[in-house]
Order: sequence, then C-alpha cells, then structure tokens
Amino acid sequence: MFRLALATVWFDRLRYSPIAVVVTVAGLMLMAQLAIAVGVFRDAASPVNRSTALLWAGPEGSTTLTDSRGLDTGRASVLWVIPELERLEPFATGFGQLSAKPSSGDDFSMDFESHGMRFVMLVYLNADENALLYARHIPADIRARLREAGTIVIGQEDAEALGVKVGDKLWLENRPLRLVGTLPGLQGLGMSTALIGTAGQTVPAPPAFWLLGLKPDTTQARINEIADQLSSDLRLSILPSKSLSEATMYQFAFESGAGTIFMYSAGLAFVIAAMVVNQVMRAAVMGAMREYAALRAFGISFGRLAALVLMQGGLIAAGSVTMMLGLTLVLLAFLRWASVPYDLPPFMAAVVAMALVLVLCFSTLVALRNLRLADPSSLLR
Amino acid sequence: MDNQVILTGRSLRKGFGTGSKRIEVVRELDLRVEKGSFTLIRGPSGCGKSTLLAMLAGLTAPDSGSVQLGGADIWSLPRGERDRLRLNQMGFIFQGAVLFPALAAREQVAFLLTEMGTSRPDAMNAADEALAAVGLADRAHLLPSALSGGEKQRVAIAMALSKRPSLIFADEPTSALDTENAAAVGQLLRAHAATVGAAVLCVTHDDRLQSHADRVLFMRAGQIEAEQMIKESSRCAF
Repeated sequence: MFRLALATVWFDRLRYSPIAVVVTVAGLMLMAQLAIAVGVFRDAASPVNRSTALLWAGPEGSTTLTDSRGLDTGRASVLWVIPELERLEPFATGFGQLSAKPSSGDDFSMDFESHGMRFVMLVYLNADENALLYARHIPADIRARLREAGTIVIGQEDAEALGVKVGDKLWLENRPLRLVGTLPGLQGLGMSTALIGTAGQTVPAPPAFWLLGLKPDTTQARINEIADQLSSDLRLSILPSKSLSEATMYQFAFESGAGTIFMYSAGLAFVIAAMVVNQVMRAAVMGAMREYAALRAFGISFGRLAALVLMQGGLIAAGSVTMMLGLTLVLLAFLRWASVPYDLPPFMAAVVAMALVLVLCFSTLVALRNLRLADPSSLLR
Repeated sequence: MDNQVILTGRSLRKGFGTGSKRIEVVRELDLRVEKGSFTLIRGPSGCGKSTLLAMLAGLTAPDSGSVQLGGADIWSLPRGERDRLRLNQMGFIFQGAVLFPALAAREQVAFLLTEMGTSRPDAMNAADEALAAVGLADRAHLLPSALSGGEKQRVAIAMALSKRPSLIFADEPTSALDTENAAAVGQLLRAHAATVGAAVLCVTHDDRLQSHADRVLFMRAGQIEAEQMIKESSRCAF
C-alpha cells in the first residue's frame, strides 16, 4: 500500500503541488513571525538573561521587569539579612535620545534616523570587575572601559546608524559621552539598549530591581527557599532569575498585543492551509474515484483505502514540511544578515511543523469522506 | 452435477426508484453457475444484466433473494467478510480497464496479490507470469499511458487471473477491442475456466465471445428468457 501511495503522490506531484506551496508559505510566515516575536520577547528580558544574578528583588507585588514601582536603597538594605548575600547591585533604567552631534535644542524630531538620532533605553551599569548586570554579555575589556566617567556602550547596528565608531563622542540629549564599545544583540525591534557606566553619573532613583549576588556554594533549594520565604518576611518580591525572565517575556507577549497578533495570524494561516489542503485532497480523491471503486470491487476494504489516502497525505506532509523547514533556515540566515533580532527555539519550530502536519492530516481526514462515493457497482453500468 | 455448482442466485429481485417511478430491473431471477464454466449473459440494454452481475458479485445488495457462494449467503455476511470473499475468490474485468495511472503493469498486478497477503517477491513473480500469459511480458514495466486499449484490458485480465479466483466476473470486456484482441480475451477466459476450474460469468453484447463460451443466457425485462448451451465441437479451441 505504501508503494502505491508513494507512486501516486510522485505521479500526481503537480496536482499536489498547491499543498506544498501553501504549507511552505504558511509555515514560513509562522516561523518568521515566531522567530521575530520570540526575539522581541527575549529582548524584553535580556537584562535578566544576560546577567549572572540568580535572584532579583523588587518592591512587593512586582513580577516583571516593567511593573516595578522601584525599590529605594533603604528598603533594599534589608536584603543583607540573607546570610548568603555577597553583593547587591541596582538595576536602574532610563530613556534618552542619542546623537552623533549636539542637538540644536530647537526641536524634538520624530524622524530620528534621518537626523542621526536614536531613542534608546539606558541601562545604568555598575562596571566593577565582578558586577552581575550584563555579566554574560559584556567582555572584560569593554567593562573596564565603562569604569571611566562619561562612557557608553551601544549596539553595533546603532553605531552604524549613527555613523560613529569606538572612541568617538556621542551626545545623550546635550551631554557628551565617549563611545567605548559596541556589542551585538542590543538592537531591539522597537527600541535599542545602551549601557552607560555609573561612574560620575546620576543614576535614576529608585532602581526598579536589585540583583542579588549569592555565595557560589548556595544551592538551588536554598535559592528557592529565599525566594519563597523571605519575599513574605521582608515584604519584597524576591524572584529567581528564571521566573522573572519568563514572567517578563509572557507579559510582553500577551499584554503588548504582539502575542495576540501572532496567535491571530497563526490561526488565519492554519485555516487557509486547511482549506487549500482539503480542496486539493478532495479533488485528488474525486479524480481517482474510478480506481478507488475498482479497488473496492477487488475487495480492498474502506479501511485500506482510507489508509492509502492517509499515507498519501502523510507523504505530502513530510515533503511539504521538509521543504518549509529548509526554507526556514534560509529565512533565519537572512534575518541574521539583516541584523533583525530573532530567536527560534527548536522545540517551537517543531511545534509549528507538527501543527502544520496535524492540519494536513485533519484536512486529509475530512477529504476521506469522499471515499464513500467510491461505489464499485458503478463500474458495472 | 449439483456438487459442481459454485454460485447460486435464488429469487433475486432488484429495483430502483420509489412509487410510480420505481423500475424493477431484476425480477425473481434464479441462476446457477458451475465450476469451470464460461457463461455469457446477453440481452438488450437495460434488461438487468449488469445489475444481476453486481448482485452476484456482492457489489449491489438485492431487494430480496439470496446469493450462495460455496455454501455461504454472501448478502448475510458482514461487509468486511464480503470484501475478503471478493479479494480472495473473485476476479473482475470491467468495461474499459481501470488501472492506476501511476503503476507499471507488473506493479498493478502485484499490488492486488500483496493485498491478499502474498509476499512481494512472490507477487512480482506471479505478476510476471500472469503478464506473460496474456502476452505482455515485454510490456510489464510500462505505465498504462504507454499501453494500447487492448493491452490495458489484458493487464486487467492478468490482474484478475493472477489471483487464481474461483469466480471471474467480466462486464463487456471486449467492447473497445479489435477482433484480434477480442479473440485473445475470449481465449484467455476460456483457458482459465478450463485449466483452473474457475467459473466465468461475462456480460456482453459482443458476438465474438460466443464461440468461446459454453452457455449463453438471454435476459429480457429482468428475467432469463432463454438459455443456450454451446456444443464443444463449435467452441473455439484455446
């Protein structure tokens, strides 16, 4: 039966080609959206993911990086009751307009790029050698340079857009800063991040969160205990970095509307794919009705006929999804080349591929109803 | 003689439509088919020949009556068992061969045999033998699109014969064939009936087949109106 399914699919490949096209297009659309959306969501939590702190503390009730009302130094000092605490580091952010030239001061143009400007999120960074914030992302030499007063690190793509290189002067509003490094991965889809050394800076107060540096031998069980127990005892929100990262990404995904848009367009793509697949499979079944009727007359059961059509659907699904995954790799290479922030975890790609296979199988199952029209007695009229 | 009967139809009735538009196509028809016989069913269009064949082959349920095959009433069997009966004991040759366009001739034949449970190597060997028997050994690798109408019909016959069925149902198997091919089809069916002991039941309008048969049933208005036995001396040798 498999040989017959394979032979018929190959023989009628032109008939089945619309399925391959629609699955590939729908799959590519979903993969691109997913990769970009996850990239954006991941960016929202990048301060957490790129830092080495295992616990973060914010005011009571805060669960994400963006919903903190701030925790001043006085309130944060109670965290020193944790015996394992070795280091407490503020996480403070702000916003500013970067430019390669000082602003004339007469306008605030919305057309940043054409005026060589970038609106950025500023992360105030303690540049100590053993600092926690962005410890996974900033090389030691750049971190060392950030210890000088009036220094800044920006994304490589932002430096290109502003037309500046390491060593050049940059202007934050009207304040001069020296660019001491550029890094990949700081360019977000909506807004880029710039890292500004805290030496000689006025850091916005209160910081949104505090990073807790614990003794290296602190166990995961103890970390969880601190998060669970001391949060209520100290009336603070002490969160494991993983929880804070996930909550921040989920909030961004579902409250920003990006997740809703993705779900909506994914649903639309699946519906269109299902309709096209169903129509093509239905036409294929109807087109071979005389052969199916003959098989019924020969004594091939409905179950075997259904298995034949399902095998055909499975082969088409395998071919289409393979083609889609191949083109997805090309798409990801393009996104990397275009410096678009993206992330496509393999399991998510697998979920999309499996969902498309399920759509194909479902549409094929619906098309199976037409097999009932294969009446062997019609061949004797 | 009765122990040679393989297929019996009793009091078969079949009609289509309802109320005043109902047409009785087959009426209280009785029929016995013996092993090794080649029976032609003839009659004008619409007299019920094909419907009778469909009922006897387990393809169309009669309104009443029964069909006995080897002691079993095929219309009292569950559909699955009836399917298995057709697969294992019956061969079919339809008007205008019905072949899968994607399969080469030997694959068409072997497919049915593998569905019967024959191993693939054995099925391929049997397919080659069956195609050689119908004179298509050198066409075994070709797709239906590369075969003539007569060759396609011979592939269909090879499919039917390769199963070594005890019953072969043929519906106008020579209608689109030239004299030479029609004679070849007649000889193949006659030979199979004689050598394997299978019963061949063939609906036809084609006079060319009469010389290969040993019995002709004439149908009119849903009933067998006459029966003619063909003398062995007037039959074509195979």
